[in-house]
Amino acid sequence: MLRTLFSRRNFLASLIAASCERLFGQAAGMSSGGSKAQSRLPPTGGVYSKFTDIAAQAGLNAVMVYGGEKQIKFIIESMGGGCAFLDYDNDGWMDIFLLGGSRLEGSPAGASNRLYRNNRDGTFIDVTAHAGLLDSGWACGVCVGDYDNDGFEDIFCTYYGHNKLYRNNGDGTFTDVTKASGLFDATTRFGTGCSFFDYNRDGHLDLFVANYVEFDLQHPPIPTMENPTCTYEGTQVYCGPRGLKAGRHSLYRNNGNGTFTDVSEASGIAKHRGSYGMTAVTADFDNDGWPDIFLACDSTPSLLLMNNRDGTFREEGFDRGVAVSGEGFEQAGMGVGVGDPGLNGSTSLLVTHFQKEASGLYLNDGKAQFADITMDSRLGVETSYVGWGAAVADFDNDGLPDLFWVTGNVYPEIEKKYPQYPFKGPRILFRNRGDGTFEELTNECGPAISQLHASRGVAIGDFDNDGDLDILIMNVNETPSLLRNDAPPGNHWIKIKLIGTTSNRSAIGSRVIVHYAGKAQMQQVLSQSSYLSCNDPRLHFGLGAAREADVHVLWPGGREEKLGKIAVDRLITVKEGSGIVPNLSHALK
Amino acid sequence: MNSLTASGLGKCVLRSCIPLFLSLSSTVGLAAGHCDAPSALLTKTKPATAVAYQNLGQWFEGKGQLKCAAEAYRQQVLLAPGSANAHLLLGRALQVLSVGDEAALELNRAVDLDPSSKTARLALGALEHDRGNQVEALRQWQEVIHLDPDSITALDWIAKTRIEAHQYTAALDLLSNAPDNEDLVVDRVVASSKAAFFEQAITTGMTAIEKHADWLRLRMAVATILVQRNRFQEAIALLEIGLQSQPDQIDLETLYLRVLVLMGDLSKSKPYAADFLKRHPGNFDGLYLNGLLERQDGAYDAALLHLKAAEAMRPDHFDVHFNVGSALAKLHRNEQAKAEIEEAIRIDDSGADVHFQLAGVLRSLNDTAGAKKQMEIYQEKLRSRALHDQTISLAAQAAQKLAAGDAAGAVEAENEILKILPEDAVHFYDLSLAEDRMEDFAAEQVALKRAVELRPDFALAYNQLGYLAIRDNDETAAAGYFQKAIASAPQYAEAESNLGSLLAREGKDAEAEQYFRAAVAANPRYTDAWINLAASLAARSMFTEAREAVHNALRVEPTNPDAVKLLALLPSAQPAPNRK
Repeated sequence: MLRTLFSRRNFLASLIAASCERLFGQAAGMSSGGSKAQSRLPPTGGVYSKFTDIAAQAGLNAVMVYGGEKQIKFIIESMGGGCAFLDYDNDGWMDIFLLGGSRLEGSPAGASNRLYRNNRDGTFIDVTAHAGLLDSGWACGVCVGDYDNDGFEDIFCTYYGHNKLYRNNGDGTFTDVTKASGLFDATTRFGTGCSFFDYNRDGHLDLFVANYVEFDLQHPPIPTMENPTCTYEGTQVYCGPRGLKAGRHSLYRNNGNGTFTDVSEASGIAKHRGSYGMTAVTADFDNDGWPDIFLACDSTPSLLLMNNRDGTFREEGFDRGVAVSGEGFEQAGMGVGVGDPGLNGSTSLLVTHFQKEASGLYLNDGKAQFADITMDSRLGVETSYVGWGAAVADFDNDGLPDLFWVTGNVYPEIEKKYPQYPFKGPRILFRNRGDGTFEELTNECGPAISQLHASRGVAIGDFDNDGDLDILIMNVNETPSLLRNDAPPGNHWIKIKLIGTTSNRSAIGSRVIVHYAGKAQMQQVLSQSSYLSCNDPRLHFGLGAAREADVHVLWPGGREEKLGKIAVDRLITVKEGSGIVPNLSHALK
Repeated sequence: MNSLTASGLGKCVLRSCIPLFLSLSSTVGLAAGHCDAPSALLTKTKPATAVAYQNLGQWFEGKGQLKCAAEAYRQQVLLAPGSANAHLLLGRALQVLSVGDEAALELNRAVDLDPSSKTARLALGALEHDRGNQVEALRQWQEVIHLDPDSITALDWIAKTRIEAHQYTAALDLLSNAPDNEDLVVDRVVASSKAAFFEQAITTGMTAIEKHADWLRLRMAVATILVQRNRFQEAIALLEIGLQSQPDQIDLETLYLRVLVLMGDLSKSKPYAADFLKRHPGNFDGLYLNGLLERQDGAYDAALLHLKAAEAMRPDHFDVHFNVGSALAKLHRNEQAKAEIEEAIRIDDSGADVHFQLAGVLRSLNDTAGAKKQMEIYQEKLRSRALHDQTISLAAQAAQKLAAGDAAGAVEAENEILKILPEDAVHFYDLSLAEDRMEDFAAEQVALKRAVELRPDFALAYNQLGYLAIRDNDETAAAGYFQKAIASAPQYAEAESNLGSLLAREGKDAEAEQYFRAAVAANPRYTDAWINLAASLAARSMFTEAREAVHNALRVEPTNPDAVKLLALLPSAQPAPNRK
């Protein structure tokens, strides 16, 4: 019997197939991804550092308020703040500065940035109020540097709102000199990354400031399910950054008299718009003696601004292989670890990304040509979490810099629906195996690493001056974490503090190459890295079994100093032009 | 597309089932080669009757002997030339045999003999569609809708035709209140998503799936849209439920595997992909997706084996070439990589990443200039995508503000978009909608005129300009705009109805009738147009036709108050002719 069955299912099938066909070669939304999870190799075992969170007994007890706890309505709540190890009182012990935020409904009592002075006994005391640093705005980034070369480290903080420059008065207090220094901007901006650096090599620290997006809290974009930039996996979340206008980045030249001049236009910085700037790293990537700028950018190509040595910069992130992933995908660049994990005497980058994207490892060939070695180095095994503050640091002092980053989601709403996207995540640690690959040890280094937190900023430093690198972490709406490192015995180390004379006093931009046991490792003195954070300015090198090291210092002003056969397991202080000088009285136990 | 591939012609599908050795059956005198039928049946053809040949034809059809069936039906037609059914049976058999012209003759004859035969019209519509005569095909399906507003097959055909022609809103209009049927829901879902009403598409689909868990094609359609919206987890859950009930449904399995791969979790996707390929050796998707996963995991040689096999099966597949090229590049086989990636770009140049890959390969081959050019293309595509995201966000905000009654905010957002896309006709149209809400008609008109200037075939904008002209009492201009709307979109029912209304207002009811008829032809479920048609007919005292038009409206919307009211006003008997 003939029946009427004129179905056009083939037509439908072609419609569906056409929709799927191009999925794999094309970004489909907010987070374009690209580097997928790799298979894990069997663990190799071996001894490694153990970490213990001693924040509570150390007295770091203030909750760092930042946005809604159950729901984040606007993008400003999601950022979280950076943190810093700095020696603001020049006693040779690392103090702690942490950035906090606010709430949409207003700041709760106790919300503020926090300064903790190191008591030199494993504990700290909250001196925020005394120091004049109480502030409860939407702080994001911190960079540290002695902008007035008076011998005391100053602090610059970025905000959603108005950035602030705090001059260190040298007496344990700070003064907000934003307006007096010419850095005040009346418009509301979304400051994120910042870094002091001497781009014109005049001996005075200039300032680079990144801005994230243009966002008006009075007229914010309201999330709807129809707007793909306000949804994640079918859940309505805050809008952005995609869909929002990118912020304009700024460069301020230090006039040498305590004031700055905005040279964003003249330097060419202002024209590089379109990228959502996050962490800023200023360092000499091509080893030409002039500092460049790497700006990790969220969901857009990261920027590599190369110094033209004439007060201007050129953007070469794409040409130099560090703007996007090795497969050409824009990723959610948040934090940046800086170091020399390949021991090739150059400054390489670890960039943290969103969940479902591996953190990217970009190997510098010494001339600022970067190769994305993420998958070759086996970092692709970990794609479960949103990554933030990051570090390239030799925690076990075996002479091979390891990789570390913290995690935490930006959408507290989604874990109820999808447990695989938890708001709190573990700390991620990869041991350098010395063969170009890394091995994840997140579950092998003690509960302080595997515990779950929604973390943002990370600073690396030796707060107890015991010769290994500890970890300070800013957790959102929690007290901070201070992970004391107990490195395995037997390995040696050297720590180097630099004091500039003709170069800037903080020696920011100095490059130090340490030669040990046939290896050469470079580190630079940075004003910001990780996620909007600042590490201990003393450069720490694990040396493994080596009992001596040669130290080569390249000062930002151009001077070089070579220091041979330095004994290990000690801090040395090198003053520009004077070689090794005595350490500060309380420098080491 | 061959619409008859799934026809109910027994087990015979496609031409391949035509018997290879045809011999004339002396018993029945068919010129169709060898046709063996049971003697009982053959006996019944003596003496020859139409019914006997129909039975014989159907028997042949059941056995897949279509030529024999056609010859039997031909005998039936000879014996019963006035039988619509005989012509229909012959026409459809010929259609399957791809004897298109003859089939069309027979089916047209069937329709002529029985204009109310939905089956004949559907068959004729399908035939004309396959022959490329879309207008005639559409006419036949619309006639079916007139006969039966709930005809699923006709609605399905018309909806799909509209979707193919990118007339998504028209398709959705047609399908509003349509019967609960999987094909039609899928059409609605597809039309909604194509019109960028993604949430509507998902909600429509999910609601239907809750009622009909066994509608797998709908499940797949919704899953696809969820993936497009980056809602992978929901897509996975939806497909997994489907696979529980139908684990061996290969289309479902394939889509599931694709989504797993896209999610990037190798721990789940790799074993599933390997198992899929084991169960379906030689399957294109199995080869392609296993290769892709191996490439992602750094197993480039293994990836190439699978990808090359897939490439041999589908040499026109963008992504296979792209992945082969990427794997070759990793293996430093740059010349081959270059050829593969260039082929991928030739097939589909829409993505950015492929240019990035090519730039890398060209750099390795020391073609600095070529690499630079590719990077420029790549970066330009990234910039375009960022601006696209920005406009999507602004457009969503504008729509949201408009819905919340903040027309000024919507105007502001649309103007922001137009700063980014100063020559985007659609956003000028959207701006006009917001200005209309603000009752700033002068500004609305400026925006609409700019829209049609940028897109001279922008039917919606012409239609709206027509409204504005009526507001300004410029009926001549209004008519002109409606005509332009119709010329730009010949199936634009609203514009047809508007022009009809305008003419009716001028007392030109006969002319108006033509436009109303065109409107209901374009959308037989357009109740307003049916009511307008009825009114224009009633105005000329054509009460019988008017009643029929009202009844058509009521068949679509049984409680439509205007239709009910008009029906009550119409005299029950036809008066003496007094037509204008």
